[in-house]
Amino acid sequence: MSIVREILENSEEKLFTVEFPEIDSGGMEKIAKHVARIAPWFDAANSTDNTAAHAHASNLSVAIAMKMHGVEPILQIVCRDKNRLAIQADLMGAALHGISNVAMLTGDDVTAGDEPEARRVFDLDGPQAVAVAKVLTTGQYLSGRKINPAPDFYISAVENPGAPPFDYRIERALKKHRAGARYLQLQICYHPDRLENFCRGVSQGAPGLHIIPTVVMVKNEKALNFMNDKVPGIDIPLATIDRVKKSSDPSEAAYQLVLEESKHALSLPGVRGLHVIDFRRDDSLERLMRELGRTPKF
Amino acid sequence: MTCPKTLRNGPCGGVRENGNCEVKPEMQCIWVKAYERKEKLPLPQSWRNHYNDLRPPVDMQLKGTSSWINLLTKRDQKRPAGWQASFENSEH
Repeated sequence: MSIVREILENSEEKLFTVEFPEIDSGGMEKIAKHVARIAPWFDAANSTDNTAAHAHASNLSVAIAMKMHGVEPILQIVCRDKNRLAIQADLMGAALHGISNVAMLTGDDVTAGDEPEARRVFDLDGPQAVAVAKVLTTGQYLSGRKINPAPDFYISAVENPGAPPFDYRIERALKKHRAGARYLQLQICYHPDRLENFCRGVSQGAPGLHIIPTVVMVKNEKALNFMNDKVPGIDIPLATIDRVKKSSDPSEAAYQLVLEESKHALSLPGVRGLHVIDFRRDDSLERLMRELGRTPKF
Repeated sequence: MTCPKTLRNGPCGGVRENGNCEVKPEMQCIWVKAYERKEKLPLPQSWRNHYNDLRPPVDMQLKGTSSWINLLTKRDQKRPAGWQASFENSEH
């Protein structure tokens, strides 16, 4: 049973998902602390897979911990660190633990992280990884070896509407849909026009493919500069950075920016919800949810 | 194949604003280059559409062997059984 699937396929409601913070230390107490903050506001949370090419507690282990604490996980699986055997093992491990939401993505290169000397894998790429998850749901491994009963995955992919070639991003999303993705979580996009073109194109090309854009909550322009300089595929217009930097209250300006982005994203065709990455980790997450009309679940 | 990430299904999400590679900033993304060329060249639409084909995982057993011989013998068309059943039913 997947709440994500239930909301997207069998309701008109919006889906709100959040990036679960990466876990390095602090054990289950740390998990419980993060859960307490996010659980009232979100339908599900992404368990990341060595996000930004930095090693952390593994994707599946955090997803299981989230599930134990009552939060529905969306298990991210990235192609950078695992070959096709390891990726299928992650997927079958998820099925073993009753985790059905899986997000299949290519992933940043190792050079984006703190161990650039590592061997990059990319035995599969993003669209192939989506396809492999789909193959498992037909009751067989990639090799053809049978799985009975077949695992039931609700598969998603990620696309970046803000990276060149812009027109092609729509076709690429449709390709991932053909491979088996039922919805897309988008990379953060600071160009509203690009996001709008992408959503319009995807909703025309594949009306059944749900779109969940991503917004990032930051405290000041330093975080925007960092993303602009260091995160592959993210471009932030100078005017956007200046708007925060030159404000008398940068923290409030950064909040207003994310509120504006959220409202804009939710108004676009094909968009069925929002994915939130919270680097502020203060009370503005609750403020954003309330100002978007959300009421806490408990 | 000059993509440092050895991707087979088009440009990743890490393409820079100027169309260059995430891993090698001085190099144009090979998939961006291929995209621009297929748009510009006077090709039949069916050829252009091949850019969007879902290409299967690479058979690593063929590393270091002749791609020409593999093309002629059709060895390079062999797919994992699971892939074939899900994505290439119509062709087999």
